Amino acid sequence: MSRNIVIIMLTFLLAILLMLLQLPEAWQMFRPEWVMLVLVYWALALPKRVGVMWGWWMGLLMDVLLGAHLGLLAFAYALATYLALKFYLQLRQYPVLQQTLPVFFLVIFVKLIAATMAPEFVGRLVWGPALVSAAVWPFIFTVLRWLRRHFHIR
Amino acid sequence: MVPVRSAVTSLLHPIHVIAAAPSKIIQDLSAYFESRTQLQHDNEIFAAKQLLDNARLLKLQTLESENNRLRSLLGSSFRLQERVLVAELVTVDLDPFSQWVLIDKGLSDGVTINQAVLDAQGIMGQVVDVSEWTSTVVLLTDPSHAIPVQVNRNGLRAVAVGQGLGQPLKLIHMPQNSDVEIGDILSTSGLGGRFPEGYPVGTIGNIGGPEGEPFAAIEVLPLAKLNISRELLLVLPGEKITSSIGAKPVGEDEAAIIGSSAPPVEETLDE
Repeated sequence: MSRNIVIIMLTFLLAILLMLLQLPEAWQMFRPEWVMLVLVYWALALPKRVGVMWGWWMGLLMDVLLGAHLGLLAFAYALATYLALKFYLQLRQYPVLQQTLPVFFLVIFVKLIAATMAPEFVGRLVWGPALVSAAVWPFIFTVLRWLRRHFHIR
Repeated sequence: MVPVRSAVTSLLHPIHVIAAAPSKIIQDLSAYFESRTQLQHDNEIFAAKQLLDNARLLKLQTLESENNRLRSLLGSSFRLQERVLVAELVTVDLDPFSQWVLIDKGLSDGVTINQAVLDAQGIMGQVVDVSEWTSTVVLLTDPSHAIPVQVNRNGLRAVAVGQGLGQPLKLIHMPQNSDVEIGDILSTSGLGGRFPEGYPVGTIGNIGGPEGEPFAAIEVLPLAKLNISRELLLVLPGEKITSSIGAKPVGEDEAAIIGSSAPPVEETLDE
């Protein structure tokens, strides 16, 4: 396994840990979709390396770790990665702040799919994470870009 | 699919452990810095409480054996003596769209799917998923969860369905004129075979009778501290009451009570 893959994996591992980290109940709606944000970043930066299958496997991993219905997040993340890859040339041209809007809608999309088994909760558990994810996107983008340049990940 | 999932979850156990570490460290630190006077104070309270509970337990055991004797006279089946296992919550957040928690006991501790989970106050939920060292518990308040209950006062049976965290449970399909009062205590009815009979579930919080609706809108407040309790009890599949009497730590004299006036327990035991 090359060093590049290891570093990408480590960013995913950190994102997964942040998804599992226990938050007070009132804060749970403010948890960004860390794994999806990292997926989207790598899909935009290295579309040849991180593809839909990465989204699928990361989603499956999250399904198992979160105890969700198997395949739900796998499907959602694969779809999100697909959309990011489909428009990566356009998205790359946008300034970071403008990228927050597509990120916002991607998270809404992912959350709606994740909520299909519990339609009672569609509401703040969908738009809360979407808003916060959009807000932290510039931060994630900057950190991961620094990582990518520093370690020459290609 | 279930064994595969269980195996993968076991394999990913380290990730859960690492994710749980920060909140565990914070808990441990706050316990460590608890003041000495506070601890002494707690200790006194616990000692007094234990004395009281022990006395009550003695009485309970006498009642239990008397109850069994009466049941055997009636020819009805015995209550099983349940064994319990203490588990602790793993401090990770699971799927935000369902009320699931992770506990630190799994297959290797004898946990199986569908086991009932309680805390000191009442039923919390049941085990839905088991891996080698952890298992997933669905709480009563999960909208996909229903529990068969009965009203302690009059034995009226009902089903309580979850409505989401922080929301009361609701009793479904109860006629407008059913005999339920605010403050009534509900316990498990044992129907359905998932939950052992007789554990407290909740109290009736609010009774609404919407005009023109066939059923009453009855709310149940769960007794278990669903979002506070860290230690919880797993009810292991029961043994026969006969085998556990000898093993009881307190009140050894009940064996004599049973033996003296009741018919031999084994004879009327029906499965």
